[in-house]
Amino acid sequence: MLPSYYEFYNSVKIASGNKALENIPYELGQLGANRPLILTDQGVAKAGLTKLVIDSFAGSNVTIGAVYDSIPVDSSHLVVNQIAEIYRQKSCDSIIAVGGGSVIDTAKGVNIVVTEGSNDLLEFMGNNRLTKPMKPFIVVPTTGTGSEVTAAAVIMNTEKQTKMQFTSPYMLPKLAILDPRMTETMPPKITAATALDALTHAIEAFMGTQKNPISDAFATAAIVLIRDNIQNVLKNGKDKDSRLAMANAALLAGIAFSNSMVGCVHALAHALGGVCHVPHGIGNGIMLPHGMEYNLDAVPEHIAGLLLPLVGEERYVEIPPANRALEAIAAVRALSSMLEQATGIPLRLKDAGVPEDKLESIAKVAINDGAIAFNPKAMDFDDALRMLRAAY
Amino acid sequence: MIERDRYPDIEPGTKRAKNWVTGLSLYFLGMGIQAGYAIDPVIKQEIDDWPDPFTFLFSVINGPRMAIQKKDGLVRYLGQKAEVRADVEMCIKNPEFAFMLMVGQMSTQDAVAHNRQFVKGDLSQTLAVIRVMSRVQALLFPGFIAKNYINRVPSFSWLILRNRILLYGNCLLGAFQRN
Ligand SMILES: NC(=O)c1ccc[n+]([C@@H]2O[C@H](COP(=O)([O-])OP(=O)(O)OC[C@H]3O[C@@H](n4cnc5c(N)ncnc54)[C@H](O)[C@@H]3O)[C@@H](O)[C@H]2O)c1
Ligand SMILES: [Fe+2]
Repeated sequence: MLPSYYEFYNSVKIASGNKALENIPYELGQLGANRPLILTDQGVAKAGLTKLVIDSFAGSNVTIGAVYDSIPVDSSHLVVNQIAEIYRQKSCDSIIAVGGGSVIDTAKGVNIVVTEGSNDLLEFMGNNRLTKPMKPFIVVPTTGTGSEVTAAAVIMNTEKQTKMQFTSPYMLPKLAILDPRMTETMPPKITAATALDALTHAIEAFMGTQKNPISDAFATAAIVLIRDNIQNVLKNGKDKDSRLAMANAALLAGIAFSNSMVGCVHALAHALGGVCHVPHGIGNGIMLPHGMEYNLDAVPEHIAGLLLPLVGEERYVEIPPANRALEAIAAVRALSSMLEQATGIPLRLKDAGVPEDKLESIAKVAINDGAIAFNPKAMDFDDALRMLRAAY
Repeated sequence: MIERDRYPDIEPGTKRAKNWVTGLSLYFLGMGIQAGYAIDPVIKQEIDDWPDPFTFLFSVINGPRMAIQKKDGLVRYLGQKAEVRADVEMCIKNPEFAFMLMVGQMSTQDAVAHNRQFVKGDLSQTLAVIRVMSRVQALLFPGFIAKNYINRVPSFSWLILRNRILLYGNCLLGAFQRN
């Protein structure tokens, strides 16, 4: 059944595959820019990825205005404001983000501040409140969050210890570059964590209140790619085809959830990140089966609908319709156990370094997280605490 | 030259009646929050967690608005005319959507799911305000009506009935005092 109303938007040009990086100088020219600020972090720079991007400008007429390579994990509005100052002082005219979700979200924040001619990101918190087209912005993802195609950024407020949300279609990059060279250096744990993040994006978009036929198509395509490539990518990290498939999966899931949003799992993961610094993908991976169970009585048919992409046709037809929703949750559990065995990522909150006496403050932050507004069931404090305890 | 008469400007129609209904409902919502803080423990507990001072503005593009302020531990409905600098503003994109929200043809959850609104300011603070508005609606309306407005109607209790009576009493008294 179609929703009574929905919206869908995605304007990002996608360049995926062999030598995709080498398209950047041309595309930058198309955007009327020739002095980009490159944003990245230490891990990405050490893996040699920033150099690959810089090298791709050889033979062009583009001057890189500056490279800022010390964005911290879960960076804050203070970092954003500082980088905006560099952008201005070095007269840059565009932004290229090279990194995982932390770098990309920081870059989105920087673009807001420099476009609006402000000094402080905090002035622009909220959804759909920005009104100006932004500076040319290109993203080269090196993990698999899908942030390269989302109209959202999550940035830490270090004073309040919460993650602030910003959404606006203007924040969408102009171009996303998926180059298999950029993800093959990802260590197994990060590969697993970002795969769980992408899976959570697809599943929450498929369960949520903004679910629609277009985002469903992206979400299910993402799940299929993850299902078919995750094992291979862990076994052989240098396999270009599997890496590119996983990058595409993350991108597809990103388009899905940028339009249909995420729900209670992300609300809990954001709170786990804000209060206890649990990495985003790990928090999602731990909470995902609990979130599906929580939503089961509200949207059983949507959860059952996830079984086909999760397990494939042959297995699907063997399962009677009445069991499909529970089997879908079991399939997610099986996938995360496989990732635990292959990489050692934690599957319980206590193994992720969360002190038990923090669960209440986490629940309190989670019920005020913007993502909760799109969950099919209104999660209150008691519900959140119950889920956290179950995952402990 | 084009024939100007053949292609006249077309001015937009008005939504006076609907905006009047929205304005009236916003009055009950605003007064309900102010009075609810004094009489309902659930509302009090939520609002005690809000920052102080804090101003929330509910607005409709080209339509009515309503502001609520918490200051020095007091909660006040600032009325419809108040020109305030709000910490958080929830803005409804069209008077039609606001009307539907107010008469229960669109739930708050659908207004969010269908992007009929946008928020300036801290989204997490907005959720806290929405919880209070939902509680006020649960107090104002019996369950079978409230379910059109909110997606989690509290089950009936004498406390709710008592507070419903007190709330209407306060709102009507407030209207009396204002005029
Ligand atoms: N805006 C969105 O749409 C969106 C979506 C998902 C996640 N996020 C945000 O993204 C953040 C998490 O991002 P993440 O999971 O990509 O992690 P991350 O960006 O924090 O990176 C994790 C670590 O991996 C390293 N790394 C990244 N790519 C590498 C590579 N190819 N080789 C070697 N090392 C590499 C980094 O240096 C870093 O140390 C969270 O803050 C989350 O809220 C945002
Ligand atoms: Fe995520």
